[in-house]
Amino acid sequence: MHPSNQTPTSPEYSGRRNFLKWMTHGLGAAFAATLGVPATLYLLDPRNRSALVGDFKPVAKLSELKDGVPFEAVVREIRRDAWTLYPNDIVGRVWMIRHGDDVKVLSTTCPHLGCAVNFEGDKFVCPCHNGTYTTDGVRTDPGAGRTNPAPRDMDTLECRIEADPENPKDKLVFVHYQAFKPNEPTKEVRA
Amino acid sequence: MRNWINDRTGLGGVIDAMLLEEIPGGAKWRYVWGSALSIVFAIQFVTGVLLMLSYSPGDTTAWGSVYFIQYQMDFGWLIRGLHHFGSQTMVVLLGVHMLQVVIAGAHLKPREVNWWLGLGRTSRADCLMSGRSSKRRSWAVRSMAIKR
Repeated sequence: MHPSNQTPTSPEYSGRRNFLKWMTHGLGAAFAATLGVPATLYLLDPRNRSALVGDFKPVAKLSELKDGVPFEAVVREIRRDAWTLYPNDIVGRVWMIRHGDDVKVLSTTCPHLGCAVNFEGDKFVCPCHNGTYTTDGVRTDPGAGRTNPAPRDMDTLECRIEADPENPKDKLVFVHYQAFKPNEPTKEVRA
Repeated sequence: MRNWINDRTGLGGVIDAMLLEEIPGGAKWRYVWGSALSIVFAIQFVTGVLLMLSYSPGDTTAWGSVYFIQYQMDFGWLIRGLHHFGSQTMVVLLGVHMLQVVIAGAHLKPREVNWWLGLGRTSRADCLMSGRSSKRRSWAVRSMAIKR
């Protein structure tokens, strides 16, 4: 393929050579992009997956709750992590306080730094840093010269009370569980 | 920028050596099979690593993770498809390349070591991969080694 009348320095020769060279580079770059762009998007896929959107879940029967006495319940939900399905996973715990036909639901997670808040006699107390709350989840003075480190009141959760399909005399309490950012003055949903 | 990289890595020299190599008797289309095999192997390597990052080889997760790659992940179908057809293509290209080498006598003295390296690389590719196509390939390698 070497025309004998052309030398490697002749313009036609170098023009052809340059064209082929850039064609080769261009094709190479095109093929690299064809694989590279999808490969990058494939790698970034987990970033584009939104967090699980919680739903209202039945958590307790209304008849289990005594007026004004906090009742601890677990929230179970189907949790999906890529291809792995956890059909009945505990996603959180709640304190439920019944007032007649109404129920107040509080997350057990302390708004200070996220420990689990206990109920002790007449108030909620966080075992970690003396975060203390009334039975309605409002911050109070821990007493004994201690200060309450919590930046906000205990986090309330949305709930719905609906008829129990298995027992017409009873009702079910549904809770929409959410986790909130700790140590913030306002309640912000954790993504 | 180009010179800066070239001065420090010599990458340009490597690329030139591959692109502008003087081939005795001139370039021929029948010399492409080795390069084609190398490119397909490179694609297999890249797509293989990508698949490996999302595959879970457990008895309860293998099917689910492959389904997830194929139908849920962005471009998972493309990456897995390239890997699937790449492995089939490698078997064919391997045969064609070896045939070309034998026809050209490139396995004869003084290039036997090159032939052995080729056989070795093929069986190593075997170890790296799994499934039907590699069984076929290892059969090809074994028969080739016996005949030699």
